[in-house]
Amino acid sequence: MLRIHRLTKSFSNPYGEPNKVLTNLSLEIKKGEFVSIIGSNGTGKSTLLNIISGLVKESDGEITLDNMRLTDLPEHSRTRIISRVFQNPSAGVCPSMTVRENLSLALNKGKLLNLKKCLRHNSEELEELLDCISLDLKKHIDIEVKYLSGGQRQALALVMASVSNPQVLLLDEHTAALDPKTSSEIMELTNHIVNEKNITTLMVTHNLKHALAYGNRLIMLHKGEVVLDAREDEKKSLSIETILKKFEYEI
Amino acid sequence: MDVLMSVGTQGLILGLMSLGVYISYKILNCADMSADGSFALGGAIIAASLKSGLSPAVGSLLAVTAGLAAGLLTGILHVKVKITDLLSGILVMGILYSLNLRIMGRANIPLFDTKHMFSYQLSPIIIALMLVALCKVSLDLFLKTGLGYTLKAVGDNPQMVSSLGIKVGSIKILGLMLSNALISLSGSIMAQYQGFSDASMGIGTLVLGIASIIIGQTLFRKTRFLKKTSIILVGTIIYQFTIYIAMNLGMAATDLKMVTSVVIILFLGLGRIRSNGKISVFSMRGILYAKNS
Repeated sequence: MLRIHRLTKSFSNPYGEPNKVLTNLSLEIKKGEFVSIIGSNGTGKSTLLNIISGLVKESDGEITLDNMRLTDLPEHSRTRIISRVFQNPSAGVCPSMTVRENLSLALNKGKLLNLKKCLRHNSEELEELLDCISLDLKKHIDIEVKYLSGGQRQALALVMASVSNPQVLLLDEHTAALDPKTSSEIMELTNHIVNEKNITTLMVTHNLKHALAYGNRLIMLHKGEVVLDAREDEKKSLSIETILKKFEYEI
Repeated sequence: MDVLMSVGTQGLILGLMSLGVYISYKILNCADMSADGSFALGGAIIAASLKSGLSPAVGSLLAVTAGLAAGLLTGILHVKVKITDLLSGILVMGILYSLNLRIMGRANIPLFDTKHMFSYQLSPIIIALMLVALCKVSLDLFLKTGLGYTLKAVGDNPQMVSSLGIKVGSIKILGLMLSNALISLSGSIMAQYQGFSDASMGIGTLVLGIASIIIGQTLFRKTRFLKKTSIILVGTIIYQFTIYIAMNLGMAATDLKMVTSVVIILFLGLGRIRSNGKISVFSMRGILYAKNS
């Protein structure tokens, strides 16, 4: 269980009042839950992910994962249990390495810093990881990643983020830079991976269709507070129209 | 023939330096000016060691250790004190210049009448070849390990390395240490080969290393069977021969730094023009390769 307790974050502002992005935010996310987070720009969605991953330090409050206080851990120890996929498809891969080399790096997560051979996984093992991808990555396994398309790179980044079986997966608008067709493919892949591995997932998105279609919980943030929290059946009964009507001013 | 051997030997010895520069400049993507100081540091250490009666092997090991320390200092300045990579290198270069004079006690120590690694029966080029082969193969093997790949990844995408749960800063420091150790080793061998150590022998080291790398990579951009480290060694040797020819054509030794800079400008400039053309050879090849496989 990922527990966010009275989390507050304010950024100091040289022109007066500090800018409060999150105010006493509390959330409990069960193991394996796939949560979509929506809300307009500046409501603290990305800040929340940044605090969970340790990139940004909270002003107050705490985050615990099972019995571990995440907020006490430095960023590089958190990344061993938390994986993240960014909006920019190039952020999650090494451009001048091949698909094989990138996957090997991800497979060795947590045990990279030694003198064992890095590329010790055989091709079948690696191809199996790419099995569920419709973007033909298998054919390009020995091609440097910089020659791949944005969608292929993001698919690879997603596989790499999940291959080490993280306890939490953070998706930060990870389909926003892709065309509609590719972005649906990446969402299908996301859904497949999250369900198969049962990873607790937080997905920030501006795509209401994706937010409704995928995952089993939908949270809407506004000015740093939760204004909508719909699970399972309640979430299924929501439609884009009702969200837009109800929260017109907030999206 | 003797001259050719001598140029070749110099090229091999400087090849070690180029491999060091390759780690900082190409792999870590940072121009580490402390290279200039480390090269002379190697010379200073070996001169002082040999003069005080230590064996060439122990002296070279000391030079490597000193290089590691120089890299550690640059790394700490850059990573922990957060000074830019360029300025960290320049600062360490300044420190090393004074330190080298301290170690040597004067600006130049001749080693002609001292027993050193080239005073044995074996021909110098063979000794140089064996040493360079050993270092190159070790570096190749290292770059294939998990740690080696992490080093490459730090230069490629530091954010990704940090998302693998690794402290990027420590890896950078490690890379700078390895780089300066190789450069210092190269300086120590060079001092023994040329028969003296000079406080100013390091000036222009980084630029020379970069020129060798660029020449190698430009001439062999189409070859896939050669390892990057081999290409750099060959590039260094080719460059030493180019300089030798230039000097035979009447250039003064003092013109060499200018020549080196002009060569880098030309190669980089031409590369830029080529990649601004319709489709660069480089990216075209990538596309073809992707389609064919």
